[in-house]
Amino acid sequence: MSALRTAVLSVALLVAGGEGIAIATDGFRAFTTETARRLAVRRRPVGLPAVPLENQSGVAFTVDDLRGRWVLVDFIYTRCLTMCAVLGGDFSQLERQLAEPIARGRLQLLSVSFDPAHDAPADLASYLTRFRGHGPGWEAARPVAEEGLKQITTAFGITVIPDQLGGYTHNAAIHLVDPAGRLVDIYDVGQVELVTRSVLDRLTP
Amino acid sequence: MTAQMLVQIPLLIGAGCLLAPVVPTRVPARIHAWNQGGVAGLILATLVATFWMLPRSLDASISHPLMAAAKHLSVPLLIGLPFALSWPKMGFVVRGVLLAEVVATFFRLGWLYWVSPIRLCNNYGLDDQRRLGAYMLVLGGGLLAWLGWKLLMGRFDSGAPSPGSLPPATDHWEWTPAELSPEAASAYEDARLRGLCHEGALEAALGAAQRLPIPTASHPPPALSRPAGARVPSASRSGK
Repeated sequence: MSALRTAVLSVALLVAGGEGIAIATDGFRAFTTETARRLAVRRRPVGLPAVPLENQSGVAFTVDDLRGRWVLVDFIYTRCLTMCAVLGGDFSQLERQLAEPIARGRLQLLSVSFDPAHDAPADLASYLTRFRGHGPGWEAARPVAEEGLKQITTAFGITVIPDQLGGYTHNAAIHLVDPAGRLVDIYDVGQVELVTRSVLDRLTP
Repeated sequence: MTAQMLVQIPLLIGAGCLLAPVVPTRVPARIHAWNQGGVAGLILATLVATFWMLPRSLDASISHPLMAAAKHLSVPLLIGLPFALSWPKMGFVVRGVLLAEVVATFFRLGWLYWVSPIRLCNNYGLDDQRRLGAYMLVLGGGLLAWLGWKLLMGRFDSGAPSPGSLPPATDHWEWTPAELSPEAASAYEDARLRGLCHEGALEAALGAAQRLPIPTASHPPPALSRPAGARVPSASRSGK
């Protein structure tokens, strides 16, 4: 009798536990936060807060001002020599490949610094120069307030942790924001071709 | 990452295990009917442990206070406590499978963390992840060596299950001290105190019982209540 009960309970536990783990991993697809973030955004676009920013020329604007255009966003800090350099290269390539929609004002590239204390407008400008960003198609900006930094990184799902070299480790990706100001897709660093195709697909009616 | 997986979570599991002795005795008695051989408790502990081994869960327990609270409650109460209540009921095979699986998990995850070029947790750096992987490989190796040693040296203690938790003994290796005659039981206790394993102590107890002097009227013969047809321990097994 107790063997039967134990068997029933064990099967029930296995079914419930399997179901629980399936839910916790988005149907065994997302085992890491990074994958989960991408799946979640594709399933349900994230509305972005109107965070006040300041660009490489010291001009103030908010995330809301970008509405009406598609925006490709990445997160960087200008002292970064690893991931941000790769992202810079990607954006430089994207700026060339997507020159046409950029010129028609339908697309904007934006690099947001998560290290506003170090990244003054002059640093942002030299970052763009380093990757031959010509502006105004590609802008670099920093959040004006500490609160804004927290808001924008939370909305995008960016986690920044200090490394031992005085810099930061961060989850790097290319984010696509639609004209309604919603984060709709996230791509891996280096997926320049995929991003180009995806943006062009969305721009052609 | 290393600190969370190899220090914090094991300590939380340990805290849950420490709760087991203070659980009122009627509780284990009641759940026993649903936990024969400790199987259901083991499944519960394993499933919850699986959840807390997901990189996502580790990340979330740092980023979200609610997940941190869930971890601090569920790891002791749903892993440590059921494990501690179930382990004494588990048979040799279940324990062996569990331990082999623990070793395999240390190797699998350790290898993954060690070689993965991508960070699995947004809250931890790659160097931390690699260090965790290396430590897990070393720990898995150590555990495997210890298991191998226990198996080879024949000192793998299958435990003396508490009376009533076993099906009727069909083999003398499964006898519990309560089923022995008083003399044999005390010889068994002595043998266990001398450091012998369950089987070794049983053999010693059976041997002692056979050597006992003439029974008295007030004291029944020391012959054991051995089921008919059960094997007498043979000398060939004493080397175990």
